[in-house]
Amino acid sequence: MDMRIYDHPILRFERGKSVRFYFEGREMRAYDGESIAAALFANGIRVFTTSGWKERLRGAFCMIGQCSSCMMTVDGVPNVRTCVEGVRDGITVERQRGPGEIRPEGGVRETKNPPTYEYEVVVVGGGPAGLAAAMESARLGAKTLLIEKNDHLGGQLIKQTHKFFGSVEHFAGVRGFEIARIMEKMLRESGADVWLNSNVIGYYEGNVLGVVRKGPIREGSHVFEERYVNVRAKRIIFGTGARERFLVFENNDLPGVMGAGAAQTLMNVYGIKPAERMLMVGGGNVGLIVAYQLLQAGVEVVGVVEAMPRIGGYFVHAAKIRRLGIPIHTRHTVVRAIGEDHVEGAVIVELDERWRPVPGTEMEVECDGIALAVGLSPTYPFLQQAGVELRYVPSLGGFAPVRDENLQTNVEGIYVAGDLASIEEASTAMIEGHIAGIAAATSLGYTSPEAEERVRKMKEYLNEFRSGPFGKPILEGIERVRR
Amino acid sequence: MKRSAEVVIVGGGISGLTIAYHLAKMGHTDVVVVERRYLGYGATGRCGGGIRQQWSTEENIVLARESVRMWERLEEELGYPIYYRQGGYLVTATTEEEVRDIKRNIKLQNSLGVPSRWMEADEIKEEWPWINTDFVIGGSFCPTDGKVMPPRVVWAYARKLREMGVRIYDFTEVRGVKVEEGKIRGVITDKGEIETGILVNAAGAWSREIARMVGVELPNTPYRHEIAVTEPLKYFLEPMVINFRYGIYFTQTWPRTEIVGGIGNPEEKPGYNMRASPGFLNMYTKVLIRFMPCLRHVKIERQWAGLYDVTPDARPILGDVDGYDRFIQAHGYSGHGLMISPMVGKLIAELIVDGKTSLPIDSLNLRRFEEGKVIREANVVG
Amino acid sequence: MTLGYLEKGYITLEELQEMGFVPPPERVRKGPVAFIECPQEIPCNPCVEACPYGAITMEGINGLPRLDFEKCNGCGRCVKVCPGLAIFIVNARGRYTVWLPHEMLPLPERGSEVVLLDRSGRDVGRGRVVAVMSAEENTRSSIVVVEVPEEWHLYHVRAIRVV
Ligand SMILES: Cc1cc2nc3c(=O)[nH]c(=O)nc-3n(C[C@H](O)[C@H](O)[C@H](O)COP(=O)(O)OP(=O)(O)OC[C@H]3O[C@@H](n4cnc5c(N)ncnc54)[C@H](O)[C@@H]3O)c2cc1C
Ligand SMILES: Cc1cc2nc3c(=O)[nH]c(=O)nc-3n(C[C@H](O)[C@H](O)[C@H](O)COP(=O)(O)OP(=O)(O)OC[C@H]3O[C@@H](n4cnc5c(N)ncnc54)[C@H](O)[C@@H]3O)c2cc1C
Ligand code: SF4
Ligand code: SF4
Repeated sequence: MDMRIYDHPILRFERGKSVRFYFEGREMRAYDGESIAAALFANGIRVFTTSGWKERLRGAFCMIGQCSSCMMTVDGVPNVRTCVEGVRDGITVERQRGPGEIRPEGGVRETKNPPTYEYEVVVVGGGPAGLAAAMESARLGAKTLLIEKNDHLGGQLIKQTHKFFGSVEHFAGVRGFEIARIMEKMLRESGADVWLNSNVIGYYEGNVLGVVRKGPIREGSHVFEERYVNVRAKRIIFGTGARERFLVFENNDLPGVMGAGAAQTLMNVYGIKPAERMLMVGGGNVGLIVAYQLLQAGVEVVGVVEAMPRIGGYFVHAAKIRRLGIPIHTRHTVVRAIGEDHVEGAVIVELDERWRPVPGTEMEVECDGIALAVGLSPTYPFLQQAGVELRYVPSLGGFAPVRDENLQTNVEGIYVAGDLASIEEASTAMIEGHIAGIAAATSLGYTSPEAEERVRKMKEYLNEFRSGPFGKPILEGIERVRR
Repeated sequence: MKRSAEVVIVGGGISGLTIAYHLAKMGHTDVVVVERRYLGYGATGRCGGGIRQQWSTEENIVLARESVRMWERLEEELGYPIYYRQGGYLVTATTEEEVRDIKRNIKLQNSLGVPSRWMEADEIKEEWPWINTDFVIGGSFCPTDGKVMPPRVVWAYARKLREMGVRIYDFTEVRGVKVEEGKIRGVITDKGEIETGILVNAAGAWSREIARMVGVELPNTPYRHEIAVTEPLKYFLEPMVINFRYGIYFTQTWPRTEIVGGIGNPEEKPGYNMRASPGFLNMYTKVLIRFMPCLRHVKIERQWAGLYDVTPDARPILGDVDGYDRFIQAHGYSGHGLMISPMVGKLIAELIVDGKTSLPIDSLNLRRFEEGKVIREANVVG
Repeated sequence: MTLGYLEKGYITLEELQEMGFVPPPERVRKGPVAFIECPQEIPCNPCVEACPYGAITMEGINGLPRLDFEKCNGCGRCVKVCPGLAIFIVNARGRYTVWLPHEMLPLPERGSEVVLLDRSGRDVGRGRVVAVMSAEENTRSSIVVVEVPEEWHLYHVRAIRVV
C-alpha cells in the first residue's frame, strides 16, 4: 500500500532520497525527510503501540510530538516519539506493548555539566508570532535567539495550503506555507540566531530555560544525540502556540481517530493521505479548512459534524466544501467510533437544544478516519512555571496569561504572543509578535523612532481587526486579562 | 461552613487526614479539616511515596513497623485503590563506613522485629542486574518495606472522611487562632470563624506559622526538596533503592511505571521556595546513572519540588504543647511523614480522645528541644 | 436576518438578493461582472485592494465587500486573490459563461463537458469548459470558465465536477 500523494493542486512534494527501514521484520520504503510515523502511515500502518494500562491499541493522534500515542521502539530504544523522529536508512522499528523496555547494561559514561548560553532576547517557538518577534528584536540590535523544536520554522503556517485572510499588508491572499517562507527569509536577514531541533523543556529561576538540542554527534554524522543546555535571557518571549483538544466519545482512542492538525501535517507537510474516507468533527475554521484540504489531497470527506446549531467558522469556508457536495451536519456529534483495530466507521447523532442526543437519530457512516477539530488550548505550562498569572477566559481558548498592551505579562521581562496569548489567527499572532519583539528590545534600550511608529500603527490595526463579530469576543477577553 | 466543631485540624496533607480518619473511627466525627489550597498541595502530594522501616532510631523503627501493618490493610479499609506494594527497600552502601552503619542498624531493626538483612554485591547483582555493583558494594534489604501512590492515598482518605461525616474545607486558609489564657477557642479563616476547643497543627512546613498565631515558636525549618520522574518503562524495578551518603532514592512507580526519585542538595538554603531547578536535574541524573547506568538514555518527563519540614533532630514533633490546653502538634516529619502517617494518625487521635497513647510518644514532644534530649535520626535523605 | 446559511453551510439566492450581492440581470446581460458571495463580517479585504477600478468598497477591515456593478468590468483579478473563493464572474452577453475558482484535481480539459453543481453541491446539469486559466506560481488557484445552458445557471452554478 502507498498512501503518498503524487499530484496535488497546490503543493509539489519534493521527496528526499529513498531509504529502507524495517518494521517488525518487514522491509518498507521511505524518503529522507519523512518522520518514522509518516513513513509508517504511507505504508498503510495504523497501529503504532498499545497503551500502558489496558493495552488498548494506539495510533498517532497529534503528529507534532505533543502526545504519546506514537511511541515505538526504534533500534532498541524504547518510547521514541516516531512522529517527530526522522526515518533513517536501515533502522528497525517495533511496536510496544505498553511502555518500552530497557535492558540492563554496564559502563558509566561521564556526563559533563551543561553549558549556559547568554542572550538578551530569547524567543521560544518559531511560528508566525515567534518569527515576527525575533526579527524585530534582532533588527533593533538586541542579541536574539529563536528556539524551535521542529526541524523547520513556520509553526502552524507550514500546513496551511489555503490563502490567508486579513489585510494585504499582512499577507492576506497569500498561502500560509508561503508566508512561512517569506518570514523565515526576513528572520535570517535580521541577524537573529536560530536553533532548530531544540525543545525547551522548562523555565527556571533567574530567567533560565532548559533546552534539549538534537543534533548529529559529529558534523555530517547521521547518528543523532540529544544534549541538554541552559539558556539565560534578559527577556523571554513565549510563542509556543496551542495544542489540539480531544473529545470524549466511545472508542475515541481507536487508531484512525486523530487531530485535524495531524491530518494536515500528514497530507500537507509529508504528502501522505491520512485516510481514504474521513469524517470531520467540528465546524469551526479548522474543521472546515482541513475538510477542504482533505479533498485537495484526494481524500473523500464523508461529512462535517458540528454540535452547535450553526457553523462556528467563516461561512465562506463552509460554502467551499458544501458546493462540492460535502454534507455539513449542524446540531450533530459523533458518539462512537466503530472498528476492530482501526476506524471502520462512526456513529453520529442529532442533538436537541440542550445538547442531548435525540433518540432514533443515530446514523452510521463508513469511514477509515475521524479527524477532531474541536478547539485549541494555549500551551501555558512555561508561563505557569514562570509565575505568570493565568485567568480562565473561554473566548481566548481557556487559561490566558495576563499581559499589557506590549504583551508583557505580570512577570517583568516575560512576554507572550500568538495563539499562546489567545487562540486567534496567524495575522494577529504575527502582529503581536512584532509588538512584543520591539517592546522587549526597547526595554533593553534598543529602539528606533521608526519602530515606535510601527508599533503604534500595529496596535491601531489590531483594534480594528478585532472590531468585527469574530474579533469582539477576543477584544472583550483581552480586557479581562489586561495587566 | 460549620461555625463550630469539636476538633479543627489545620492542613489537608497526610498528617491532617489520618488524624481526622482515626478520630472519626473512634466515633468523633465533629471534625473539620481546613486546607489552604487543595488536598495534597503540600509535601504529601509531591512526595516519593516510599515506605521504609529501616531507620536508625527506635521510635522511627517502631512507628514505621506499626504503620506498615496498617498500610497492609489500608486499601481494603478505605475501599479505594492506593496501589500499595511491598517490594522492599534496598539501602545501599558504597563505602566501608556505610557498611558498618548499615550492619549496626540491621541489628537494631531485627531486634524490633523488622526483617531487614544484609546483601553482598553479587547477591544484589543477581537479584537486580540493573544496579551498578561496581559502585554499590552491598546493602540491606527489607522485603516488607514498599511504596504507594501518594495522591491516591489522599483521595482515599478524603472520600472515606466525607462518607463518615467529617467536613473538609479546601481553598480555605487559617489566618488566626483565638486563644484565651492558654485555651484554644477557635480559628479564624478567610471564609469565617470556627469555634473549637481542640486545634491540631498539621500544616507541614507551614506549621511554624500556625504556631505563631498561638504564640508558640517552633524549631522547624522548611527546605526545598526536588524530585523527578522519567518516561514510563516496562515495570522492572520493584524496590526503592536508597543511599544516604549521596542522599538519593529512586524506584519505579506503580502503576504509572515511571522512575521516580530525588536527591538531597546539601547547599539548599532554608525557605519556602517550591520551584524546580536545572541544578537538581543535573545533580540527580548524574548520581542516578552511577547507580543505574541503563537509565542513561531514559528521558526525564517531569520535575517538581516540595518542602521538607525539618526539625533539629530530623524527628517529628508530636503531642501537646506545655502551657497550652489542647494545641496539638503533628508535623516536623523531616522528609518521611507519609510512611509513618497511619500510626501517627492513630496515636494523635488517641491522645485527643483518651488523653493517652498506646505507644509512648513523649520523647517526640516539643519540649525535648528545651530539655536537650535530642537523639538525631541518621537515616534521612538530604 | 435569519442566518440560515450558517445552519446549512450554503446560502440561497434569495438570501444573497436580500443582502444586495446579486448583480442585476440587465448588468449581467451587458457583459462579465463579479458576483461576490461574502455575507459575513470577517476581517478580510484583499478583494478591495485587488480591484484596479475601485469597484469594491468596504467599511473597515470587518465590513462587507460592496460591489459597484457599473464600475466593475469583470476582469477577474479579485477572483484570484479571494481566500474565501467567494467571488465568481458571470456573463450573459453572447454565451452564458461563469468563472469558477477551482483548486481541485483534475483540472478539466478545455472543450470538455463537466457536471454543474449548485451552492449545495446538487447536480444541476452539464456545461462545457471554454477556458482554463491554470494556476500561476504565486496564487496557485486555477479559474475555469464554463459555458452553461441557461441564464438561470449563472445565478446557481458555483462548482464543477470533472467527469
Ligand atoms: C487548519 C488551520 C487553519 C488556519 N487558517 C488560518 C488563516 O486562514 N488565517 C490565519 O490568520 N490564521 C489561520 N490559522 C491560525 C494560525 O495558524 C495560528 O493562529 C498561528 O499559527 C499561531 O501562531 P503562533 O506563532 O502563535 O503558534 P504556532 O504557529 O503554533 O507556532 C508555535 C511554534 O512553537 C513551537 N514550540 C512549541 N513548544 C515549543 C517548545 N517547548 N520548544 C521549542 N519550540 C516550541 C512549535 O513547534 C511551533 O513551531 C489556522 C490554523 C489552523 C490549525
Ligand atoms: C520531594 C519529596 C519527597 C518525599 N518522599 C517521601 C517518601 O518517599 N516517603 C515519605 O514517607 N515521605 C516523603 N516525603 C515527606 C512527606 O511528603 C511529608 O513528610 C508528609 O507529606 C508531610 O505531610 P503533612 O501533612 O505533615 O504536610 P503537608 O503535606 O505539607 O500538608 C500541610 C498542608 O497544610 C496546608 N496549610 C499550610 N498553611 C495553612 C493555613 N494557614 N491554613 C490552611 N492550610 C494550611 C498546606 O497547604 C498543606 O497542604 C517527601 C517529601 C518531599 C518534598
Ligand atoms: S472583476 Fe475586476 S473590476 Fe470587477 S470587482 Fe473584481 S477586480 Fe474589480
Ligand atoms: S477577499 Fe473574498 S472573503 Fe475576503 S472580503 Fe473579499 S470577498 Fe470576502
